[in-house]
Amino acid sequence: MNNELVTINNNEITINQNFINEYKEFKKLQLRMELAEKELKEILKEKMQELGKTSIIKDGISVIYKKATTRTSIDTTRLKNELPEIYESYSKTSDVSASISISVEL
Amino acid sequence: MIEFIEKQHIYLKDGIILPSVSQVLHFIFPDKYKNIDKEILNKKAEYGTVIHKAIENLENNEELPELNYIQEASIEQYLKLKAKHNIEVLEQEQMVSYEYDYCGRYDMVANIKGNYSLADIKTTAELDKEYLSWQLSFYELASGKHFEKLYVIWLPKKELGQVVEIERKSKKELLNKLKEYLENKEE
Repeated sequence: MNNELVTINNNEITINQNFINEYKEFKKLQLRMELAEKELKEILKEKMQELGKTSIIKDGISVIYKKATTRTSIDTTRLKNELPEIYESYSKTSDVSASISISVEL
Repeated sequence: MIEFIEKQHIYLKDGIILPSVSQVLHFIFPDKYKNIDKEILNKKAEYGTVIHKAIENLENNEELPELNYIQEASIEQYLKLKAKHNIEVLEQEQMVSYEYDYCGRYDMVANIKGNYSLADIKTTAELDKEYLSWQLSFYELASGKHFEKLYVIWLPKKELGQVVEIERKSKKELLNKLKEYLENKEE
């Protein structure tokens, strides 16, 4: 049995079927856990606010409550439109490596 | 009787095409999809259609269409919202018309959080509450009913679902906008 992740036959690229199956399961579980984490954060935020708690350290999990605050950032769209020369002089171009994106269709 | 041609998304009365809520909304928000690639728009629309169909079938105890794992997650979110907000669906996908001036098809009438409500399902990444306010208010006017609340059941891709209340436009605002649309349409 071929354990190579990728094989090439007659100029065709084939990804290992076992890997594909495991990858699909992993992506499903990953999404499920991401949603569960978001839900948990929402509930904890509400409950910690209610009880006035700022941290919970229990069962190997640490939860820190951060109060609402403000953040200042530069509106790059406005800067580009209203002061294009300044935008240009503070812009830099860097190389971006070629990359691969994989998505699960079904 | 009004006939709906699904493929072209048109409403016919005695062979004459009637304006749709979508067309009136396009008149109010002409630039809404202006800078979005058509192919991306079609993909988003296809995604939304599958979710709508799955919810419709689920509520009718029918077999669900084939779903990918992301769509499955959206349906799980819908079921969570259904339990959390006591969503009891009473009607789905009903066609309504306001004096044949415009037609539309709403997603659902349901009891939500104990309120007799009109609801629309959205799968977009962002929620345009102003657009939804016009959309749901036009449906309500055409339905001839008064709903206690207007809601959006928001199921964005790979995100938690939410039930969001939408403000209602007054009948006067709706009729003024409709008049404006019909006058411009005839020009």
